[in-house]
Amino acid sequence: MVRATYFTGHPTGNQAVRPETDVQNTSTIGARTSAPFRTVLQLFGLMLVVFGQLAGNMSMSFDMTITATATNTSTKPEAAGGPTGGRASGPTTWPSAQVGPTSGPTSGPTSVPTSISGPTGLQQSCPMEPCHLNIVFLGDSITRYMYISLVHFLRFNNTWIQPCDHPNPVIAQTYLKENQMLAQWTSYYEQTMATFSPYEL
Amino acid sequence: MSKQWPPFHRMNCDCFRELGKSISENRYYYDPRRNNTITYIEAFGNLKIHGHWRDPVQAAREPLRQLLSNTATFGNHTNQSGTIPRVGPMPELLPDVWEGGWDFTVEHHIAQIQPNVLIMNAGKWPNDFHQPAMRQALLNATQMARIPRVIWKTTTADQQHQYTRSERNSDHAMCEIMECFNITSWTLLIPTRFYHDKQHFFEPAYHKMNELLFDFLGSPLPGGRLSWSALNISDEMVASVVS
Repeated sequence: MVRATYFTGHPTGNQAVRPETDVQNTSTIGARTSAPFRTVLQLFGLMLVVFGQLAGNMSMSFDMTITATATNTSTKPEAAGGPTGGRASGPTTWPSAQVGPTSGPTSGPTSVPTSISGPTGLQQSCPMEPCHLNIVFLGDSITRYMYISLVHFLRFNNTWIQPCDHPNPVIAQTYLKENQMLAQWTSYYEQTMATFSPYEL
Repeated sequence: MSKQWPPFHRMNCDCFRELGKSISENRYYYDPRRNNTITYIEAFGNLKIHGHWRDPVQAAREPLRQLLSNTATFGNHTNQSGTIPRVGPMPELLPDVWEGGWDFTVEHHIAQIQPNVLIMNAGKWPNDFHQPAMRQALLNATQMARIPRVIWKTTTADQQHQYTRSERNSDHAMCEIMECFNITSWTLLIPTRFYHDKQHFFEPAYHKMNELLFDFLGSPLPGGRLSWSALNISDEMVASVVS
């Protein structure tokens, strides 16, 4: 086995940096001015920020300008005692992901917005369709099907896989012939590739 | 002079599966028009992660025919008939050209892609993420790879709505050191009929996961929002598990 000897060093990679938050110095506005005037300036500044955010939301920009969030670890599921493998009781109530009935942009759990700009190319906006995405999923079969679902959405102009689609890309078994064993997934691999690479196969 | 890639979106699949033999499924999707690169690397707990394509960027961007004829990309493997093997999906088991643990995969394979976001999850496969050394090694690898956002996706409940202590221990430990995308709480609410086997869902479960993921990333996906009622979950039920 060749064990990745082709790697000659660490990737030069992403040059994204994590600048300090850009709102930390707002209190210095008008440091040499009088207190009332400074308050007016701060209110005006706040209005500009709010207006800017509203305008940004309306622009339907889907570029992946990154907003970093600090992981909230303050509220976790209760400590799991005892041996592993047992059933955990009750629903977990981590506030980490935005899963409530409300929708719209969120920066995750009780986030600490740390304005992070990705590489230059990511700062372009793409009206009405996601672009400049560079996402890696690393994980199990649930993660795979989540990936397949997302790629379908991107490939077919913002259209999701439907539950009744047949064959169905998130159910490998729907691609298998009746006499195939479940482990023989070649037809699933070939047909999903054909779906997402229509000009080549 | 930079290489010119064909202007079509494509997914190349480094895939192989056969009963009693190795399982491999790494998918590389690239859409040059929108500049989207979406990659899936299969990782089952403590099992070695592996693949047959050395360069993930090339794997995503080159037409499959070119990839298959390029022995520099895949090594000098030949099949039993002495010809260049067909890989992706492969009709036969070939030697891997890379393999390693999670930290190796992130630092040496995924790092080449230079992703903006890395989403990881061990699922229900036995794993050692509750051990500090393994967590630290993975965290170090993500830092070496300079990935701006590293997210741990928690494990989904199964059809019996079970979420084991070991799963919770791993999720809990990983969420201590990186961003945490919790999908356990609401998948515990999904009715049995939305599972097509013990572990896996019908749509629109994955649809909802992706919607929530992009909300979490701060870049909501376009289009209408999927109602929770599509999964037979009420807003009140969801609110009760996230409050």
